Order: sequence, then structure tokens, then C-alpha cells
Amino acid sequence: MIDETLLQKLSLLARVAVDPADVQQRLQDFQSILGCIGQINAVELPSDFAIVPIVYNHARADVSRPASADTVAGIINNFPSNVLGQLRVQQVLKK
Amino acid sequence: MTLDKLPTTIESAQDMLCSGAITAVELANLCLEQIRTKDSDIHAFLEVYSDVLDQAAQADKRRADGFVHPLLGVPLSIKDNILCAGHTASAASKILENYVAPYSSDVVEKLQAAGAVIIGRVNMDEFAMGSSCEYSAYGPTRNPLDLARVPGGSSGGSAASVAAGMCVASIGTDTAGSVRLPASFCGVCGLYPTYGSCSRYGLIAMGSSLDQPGPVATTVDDCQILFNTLNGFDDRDAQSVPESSRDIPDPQVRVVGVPRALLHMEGVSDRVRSEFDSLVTRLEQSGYQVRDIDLSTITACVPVYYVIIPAEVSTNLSRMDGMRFGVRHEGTDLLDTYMQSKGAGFGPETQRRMLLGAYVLSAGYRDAYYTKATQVRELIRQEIFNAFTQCDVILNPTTTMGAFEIGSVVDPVAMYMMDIFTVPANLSGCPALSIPYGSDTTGLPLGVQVMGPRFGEERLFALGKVIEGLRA
Repeated sequence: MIDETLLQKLSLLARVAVDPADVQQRLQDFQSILGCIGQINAVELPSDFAIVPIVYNHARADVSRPASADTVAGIINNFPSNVLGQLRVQQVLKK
Repeated sequence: MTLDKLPTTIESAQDMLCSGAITAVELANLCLEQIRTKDSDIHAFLEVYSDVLDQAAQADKRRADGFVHPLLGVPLSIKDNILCAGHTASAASKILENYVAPYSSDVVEKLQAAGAVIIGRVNMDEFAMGSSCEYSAYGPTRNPLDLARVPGGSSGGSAASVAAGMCVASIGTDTAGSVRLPASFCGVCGLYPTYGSCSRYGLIAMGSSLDQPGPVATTVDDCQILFNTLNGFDDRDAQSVPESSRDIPDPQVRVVGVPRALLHMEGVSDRVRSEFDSLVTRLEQSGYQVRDIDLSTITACVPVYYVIIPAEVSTNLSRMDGMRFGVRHEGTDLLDTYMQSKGAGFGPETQRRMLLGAYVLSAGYRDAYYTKATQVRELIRQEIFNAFTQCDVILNPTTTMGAFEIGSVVDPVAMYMMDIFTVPANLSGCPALSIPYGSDTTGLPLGVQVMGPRFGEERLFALGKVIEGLRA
């Protein structure tokens, strides 16, 4: 649930001032959107699913967590070689 | 030769230019006249560049010197989030209204090397966030086919400028369907290339794991010409795939996969279904094998996308703080200056996504939303990749409906659901092409989308040309 307190915290985090006149509409929109994106919780992952998200930041891909050998294998096995260019694989292996 | 309207294709424009029937300067002047006549009603262009005739004169000179290229002298528009050195690029936002690009994007570099004449920058949803071109800070663009309706978004200006005959083609950007959806609404073709095939260098970033520049043109042939011009490795884009790493599938299309269950989802209009079914029948009669395929995880695509994209947007737009560039609103201290600048400079949809992005990445929520979304994204990718072991391409409608009236869709989630057929391509990195086919109950165009395996654009072009031939 999003309330005004949380909205204010998010506003500070995102450094975006929310017009006080818009607060109720923002909260309403948020509730609606959370109802939509919350559907991902219903998707079950296979028990052997081992994927570490890669965070993209302005045309640079960094592994979001320190990579263990298992994680490295998981990344390489779960991403096609033509998505991970040679440079990315080297970055992963170095970790 | 006296023309009262632009040639509608790159090929016909090039034929006239090569034969000497028209010069690039005359063609550019015709383009400018079309804009003067039509754009006050449509509002596709945010700026017509002052050096258009100089560019055209240069193209004529290069032709006289023996240079040859399909785009030489051809007038194009570019979306307002594609940097062209020395020109404003505002991403249709107030926060960048004074931003002049200090360098050109790879897209513009390649177009200029080819001798294309870049007419100007066209309207879009602010920072490419939208499916209607209503979220521009500079006012909406209107559909040239019905001025009361939207052209689609976010590359609405691109599609409208081409559909209205104000330029021969355009380059937009596509993150969840932002080239394909407006192309469908305006009755033209639009391509989302394989992620990593065309350089994102010089595109104002929205979703770095999803963005690609994409051509908008009247024919599949023209989309192919533009793709071939933009396609290629660029080491300035860290996700650009070297040619040696590209597994290019054979271009033959024999089996067409159709995810029939998706056609019966809530929100898909009966007309979209019936027009699509008619195409499938005609493809079968033409000798293609049509196979029903199961893409059950696709129903999760929109929720997944609307977790990932706000997360990436909140990162990418954090640099728009009014400090080094852009509009600044002075506050009482540094933090207040940031907040006032962004609060005043960003529109409501942009603010909404930045706040949502902060939420899904914050402690306590990140694993439940962002981490889970990236994992479900991988499931979607695997399902789509697996589907291409059963078929050569996947065919479905581009949109759930035809162009809707301006101001008629205000619920953000209802707007997000417009992407249901297009966003799977972006999440999987697979190329997808929208081709006009059929019309809705008001006579406005509909489109169909052909999606192929990664680096399989030739399959899209092959089937796309067949679909063009099957149109009544």
C-alpha cells in the first residue's frame, strides 16, 4: 500500500517534488499500477532457476551482485552468447 | 517536374533524384511546403531545421560528384530524443527545452554519411513514455487520418510526419512498441530492430536494456533500406553486438506461429481479431504453414515491463537535474533545487514512472518487484526463444484496437495495456515489424506484427512484403 508518507519518501528519493494538489491522484494511480505489476507475484519460477539480474545503467552492464562460480555459470548459461558480448563475459569472469 | 506532393517511398524519391527529374533542393522545398500546409493541424514537427536547404544542396553536390546511396537527398525526420549536433533535443520535455546537443547520435552520423536530408525533429511522448503522443510537454500530435484521434506513441510525430506526406520516412525509438504502435495507428510500417543491432549512442536513454532506434516508413522495402543503413556494431554503445557474435538465422519463412490464446484476451477488439484471422487464412492459402503456439508467459509482459522500465527510467533520468544542462528552478538549497527543477520540468507520466522506479528499487521492495521482474523476464525470453524452434516467425496484431480519440484514455494502466502485443519483442530483444493490414470499424488502419528470432530481420522483411501484397 502506498500512503502519503511513503509517497513523500519516494519523492525525496527520486528528487521529484509532487504538487500537493496532485497527491490524491498520484496515490490513486499508484494503487492502480501496483495492482497491475503485482501480477508478477503469481508467476512461479522453476525450482532450478538461477539467474542473477544484470542491471543496465546508461549503456553499461554491471553484474548486480558479487558473482560466485555458480552465478557465473548461471549467467553464461541463461544468456545467449550474442547478448553478452566478449567484454561483458570478461567482466563477469573477473569477478 | 512539378510535384504537388512528396514521393511516398524512398525508392520513388531516389528514382526521381537519379533521373534528374527533381533535385534534392526542390524535394526539400516541397517537403517544407507540405509542412507549412499541413502541420498547423497535425503538430508533428517541434522544429524544422534552418539548414535543410543547405543539406539538400550538399546532397545534390555529392550526387554530381558520383556518390551513390538510396538515402542520398531523401528528406527524413528524427524523433526529438535523437541527438543532432548543434540542434535542440528536448525529448518533448520542458526540462530539456534549452538543451542543444553537443554531439550527434550514431543514427544521425549514419544518415548524414548516406546523404539523407534531416528535415527536423518530431514530437513524441515526453522521454518516450506513452503510447499516444499526448504526453508531450509541447502539446499532442494528431493522427493525419483523423485529427480527433491520436497517432500513437511514443514516436507519434515520426508516424504522423510520414503518414501525412511531410517527409518520406522517419527514425523513431522503440522501447515497448513506440515505433510499431504509432506505425499501426497511422497506416505505415515500423521496425523494432534486434536489441544490440543498431547503436543507442546519442539516443536520450529511457530503458537502456530495451531501447532501439527504429525506422518508420510507408513500405517494408523502405524500412529495410533504413535498417541496413543504421545496422552495425558501435563500440560507443556497450550493448552493441559485434558482427562476429551475431548468429544470423536463414531468411526463409515457412512456418508462421500464431499465439491464438492471446487474441482472446480482454481488450482485444472483435474487429482486430477478424481482420487478423482473414490475414492468417490468406497466408495459409498462399502456402504458409500456420501453427498455434503457446506463449502463456506473455500475459506477464506488461507487469514485468512496468516494473523494469520505471526502474531504468529512475536511473536514466536522475541526470536531468538542471545542474549541468537543462532547465533549473532555484530552490532554498541543493536538494530543493533538484526537486523544484524536476517537479517543474517533468510531466505527470514521467514523474509517475520515476516515483514508481524509486519504489520498486527501494529496500524492502526490490526483491519482490525488480528482482522478480527480471527473473520473469528471463522466463519470457526463454519461452519466446523456444517458440522459434517451432516456427520461423510469430505473427499477431500490433495493437488491441485502432487509433482512439485524443483524451479518451486517462487511466495509466489502460494506456499501459496498449503495449501487450508489442512489448514481448523488447523484453526478449527480438526484432519485430508492424505492417498495415485491415481497418477498424471507423475505417482507420490496423496493423499486424511479425516477430522473428534475434538478428532475423530478413525474415520479417520477407513475410512483410508478402503481407503487403495480400492487402486488398
